[in-house]
Amino acid sequence: MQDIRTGLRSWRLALHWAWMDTKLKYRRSVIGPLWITISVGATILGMGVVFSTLWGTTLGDFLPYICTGMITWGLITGLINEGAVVFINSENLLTQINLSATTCVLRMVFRQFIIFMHNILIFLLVVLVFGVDLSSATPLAALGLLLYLVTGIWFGILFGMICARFRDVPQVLTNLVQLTFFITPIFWKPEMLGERVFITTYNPLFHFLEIVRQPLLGHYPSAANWGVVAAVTVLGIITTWLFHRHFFKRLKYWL
Amino acid sequence: MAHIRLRNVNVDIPVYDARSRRLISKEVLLRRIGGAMKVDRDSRVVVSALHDISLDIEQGDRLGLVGHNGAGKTTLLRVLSGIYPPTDGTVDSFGQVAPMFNISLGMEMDATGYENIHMMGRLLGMENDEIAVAVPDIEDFTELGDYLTLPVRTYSSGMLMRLAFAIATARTADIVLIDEAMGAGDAAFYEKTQERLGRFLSESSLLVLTTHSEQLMRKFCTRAVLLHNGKIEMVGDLDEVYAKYGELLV
Repeated sequence: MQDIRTGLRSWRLALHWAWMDTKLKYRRSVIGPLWITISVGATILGMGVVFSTLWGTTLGDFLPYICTGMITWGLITGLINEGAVVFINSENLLTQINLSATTCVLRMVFRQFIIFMHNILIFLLVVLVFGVDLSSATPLAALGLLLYLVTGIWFGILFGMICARFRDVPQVLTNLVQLTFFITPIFWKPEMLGERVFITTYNPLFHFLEIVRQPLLGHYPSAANWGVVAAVTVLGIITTWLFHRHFFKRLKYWL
Repeated sequence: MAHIRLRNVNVDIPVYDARSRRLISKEVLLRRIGGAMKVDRDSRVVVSALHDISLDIEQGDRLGLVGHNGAGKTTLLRVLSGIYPPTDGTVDSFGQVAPMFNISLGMEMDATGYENIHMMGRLLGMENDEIAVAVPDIEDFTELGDYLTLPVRTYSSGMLMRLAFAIATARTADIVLIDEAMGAGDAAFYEKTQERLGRFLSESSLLVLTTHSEQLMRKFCTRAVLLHNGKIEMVGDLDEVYAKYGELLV
């Protein structure tokens, strides 16, 4: 537990580091990190045009939906894919300097949030151009993001360790995430599934998606959304705690 | 008072190479590699890197680790620094530790010299005000001038090492652990930096050093530990230890 305490206390270092990472990645480009915004924005626009046509709705109707879906999904998958390799990627640091492993996780999580903040610009643009009925539900998105932060941390610690030990797991996760993109309502709506709506009901990532996407669109997430997210969070934290207590000592030797 | 006390420390490093598990049976592997390999309680193949190490390092100690490659010097340093938790045994350590194993680790090539001073300083646990105090001192020592405003990618390797070294020695620590040449290359580097290094070390209360250079060892250490196959062969003054080390080599 010592490591987690030290790590959480070092959040300022992690934030500074995450910001440096983002800045350095685009240092020699003219518009810098705005490339994140542009590339995601282009994808959203392209998919928006195609799928609004396919589903027979208007662009103004569909674009806010797919935009919030895509940027939220981007954050979720970033946290999963990067969380899996967080310790593997920090091998040198973890075995050669006195650095809390949890600091590495925080650095990774903050980096994902910085990317998300860049993508929020696309949402603001969509709000300005197409108009979204923001409501009293909208601030709830902050609560949703806070839950993402918590989830990103425990997931990174837990799966960072598992993936350091079993090097096939990151590949499995990446593939699962890719598959889940299609079975999660991001560019289509749950009601389109008709009687097969259970595909979304049993998909925990759908519920995670909803607690941020729905508020951004001005709607309240359902009780089921909050319930599933709360259950996963509690279960995840307990599992991480047990796993950390038993196996953290071995992490350095798995790297 | 700074100290590190080890009691019956063992370090077993598991071998997870997927191929060796599948293709070569454990018995074959053990026969090939010999003494250092064994099978632990959970029937995993492990390399026994340190075996039953008990060692007291107290305030004022200037300890050198002697032994040939693979003797366990680096692993022991990592245990002393708290980076590796031992498989068995206890480590009782008091004092702020500065592990100098690879001092340029964490440097960002695209960041400027100043940005790196800030980033590395924070990584070493320094607060912003401490870094502010250290900056003029680092500017002085490195003599990099305006280069500090350029990305370190543009530095020569010598300039880079000077900067890394200046940052690593910017703040004194109770316990200093130095591995080989800290990635700094050779004894020539020490020539240029010995004044600063000497000052840095004299302000620390405890030093553990490993280097293949007997000359450096004699310069900085008063006592030595001879490691052989992960075990302590002897602890004593430098002459005794080097005499014994010579015998082992024959």
